[in-house]
Amino acid sequence: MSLGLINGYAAVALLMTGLYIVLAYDNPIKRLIGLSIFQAAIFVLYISMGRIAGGTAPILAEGIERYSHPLPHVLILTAIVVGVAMLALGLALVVRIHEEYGSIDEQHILSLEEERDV
Amino acid sequence: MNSLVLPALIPLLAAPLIVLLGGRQRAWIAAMIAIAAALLSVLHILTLGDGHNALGGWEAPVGITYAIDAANRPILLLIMLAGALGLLCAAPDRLAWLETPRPAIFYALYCLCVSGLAGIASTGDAFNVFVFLEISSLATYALVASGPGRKALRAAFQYLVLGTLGGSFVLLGVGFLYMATGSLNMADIAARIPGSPLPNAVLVGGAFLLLGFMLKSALFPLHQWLPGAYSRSPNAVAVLLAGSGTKVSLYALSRIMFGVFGVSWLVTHHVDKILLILACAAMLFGSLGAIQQSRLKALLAWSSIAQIGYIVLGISTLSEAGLTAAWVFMLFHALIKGGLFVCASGLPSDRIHNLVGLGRRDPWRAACMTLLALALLGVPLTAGFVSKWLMLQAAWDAGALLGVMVFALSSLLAVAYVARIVLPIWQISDDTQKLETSLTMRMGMLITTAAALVFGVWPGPVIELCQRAAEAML
Repeated sequence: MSLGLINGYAAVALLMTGLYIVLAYDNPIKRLIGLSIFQAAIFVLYISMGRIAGGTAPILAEGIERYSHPLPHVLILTAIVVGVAMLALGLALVVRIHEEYGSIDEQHILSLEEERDV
Repeated sequence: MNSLVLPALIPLLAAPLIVLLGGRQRAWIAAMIAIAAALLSVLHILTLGDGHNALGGWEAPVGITYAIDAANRPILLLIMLAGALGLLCAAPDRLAWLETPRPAIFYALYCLCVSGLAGIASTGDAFNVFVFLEISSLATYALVASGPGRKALRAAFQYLVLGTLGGSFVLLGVGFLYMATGSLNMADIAARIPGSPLPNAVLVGGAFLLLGFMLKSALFPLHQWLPGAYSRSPNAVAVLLAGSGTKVSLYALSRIMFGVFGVSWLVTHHVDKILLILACAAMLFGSLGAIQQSRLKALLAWSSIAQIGYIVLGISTLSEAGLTAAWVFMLFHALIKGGLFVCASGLPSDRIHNLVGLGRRDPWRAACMTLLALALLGVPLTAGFVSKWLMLQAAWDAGALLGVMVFALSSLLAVAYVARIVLPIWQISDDTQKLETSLTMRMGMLITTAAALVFGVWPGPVIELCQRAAEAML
């Protein structure tokens, strides 16, 4: 395992963790946490992509010739904004679900729905 | 070529203005004006030749470009027409269920959604696709949640989780392609892929992009969000989504497939076979699912899953005839399914057994619904027949025997679910109370039905438009 790719391995581990949480849990808050971890893993991957060995921050200054690639960082700023909007909307939906059903537990809600349908 | 940004820009700028305007009636009229203006800009673009617009004067591959060619012109037109049709169903008097203190927000979100869809269709930049995809998706989640009843909230949450996963896969795919080629401009990526030092990153990027767009376009087995999102959302939103939402994702899928990777890459990596198998599964399970539904809108939603399978069958042939058929299918299915969702809105009950006697209670609606349902089935002299015939020919010529067989089987199953809608409508029942339908909705029904019949007899111009699209794509 080469140490240079350690960010990549970390990103894959985070991706899998996030995806597992999204798919395996019923609790909507936990699923949103999973989604956030999943997205954060993508951010890590992008940011690592822009790194150049021995490079500094991409600011023009005397005596600096190697600097990190700024574009992936800028792209990820956009993606972070999208992620925040998603999280806010998701949490707002959970609040509304709790107002309507008095619970956010998927199993409990399903049993409520069945009672009503019968 | 600055007008290329207008279809996405006009609804985007209109959204905050609509919120400021407030008021139910005023907001609806403002949204109508915005969509009509965007439609006019699309009509203007239709008259222009191929070209692109470099935003801020930065030429590709450095800047973001908006490119227009034969392939996305029909899609832009489709988005705006579906947007206008949906708004007809969202007339303020139809939104009694919309009890929010600020109903203008609904119309603002609607414009944002249209803006995002138009952006996906017109941009030539891979990262820009992701941004617009998320603009339209975030607006759609909120729109679905504003549907009547509390089940809409859960459908919206389910859609939010799966939709965000889809969007994230797209982001991941774009990242890998950037890693492999150092570019975000689609045409530039395509030129750099053959010489890329990281062919594996190209492969992984392609896989994530395809996966993301399959999830966004609800291709079986990634369709779980669709029935809830279509059937629990407000009718106007269902019209917009059925008419353009998944179609735009399918367009983006084919644009990435053909515009970035190219046919030989797709064949080497068996993308055509994977799509063929998924398309067959979608055709089969979508129709089977539709037969089992007890609610009208859920039935229409499941039928859409099967129809997405038909369209992907056309794409999977990787041939010009197949792509032409896929484009024709997209346009005609949007027309037919959009019309059916218009007919399904404003009914006192969404249950299929409550359709009994509709023929006497509202003859116009019943007639439109019957004709559109027959068009969905593909009865000759309707638009549905033209698209199905082209698709069958294309699949046969491409030697996709499995596809042809499943296509026929799925169409047989479609007879069963179409009969479940049409037969009860014309049964006689004791309930003869007239049903009230607003003028705007009646207009929507009549226009779509008339168009479905006219294009069934005279499909020439549409086929020609789609043929040019297919040529530009390959």
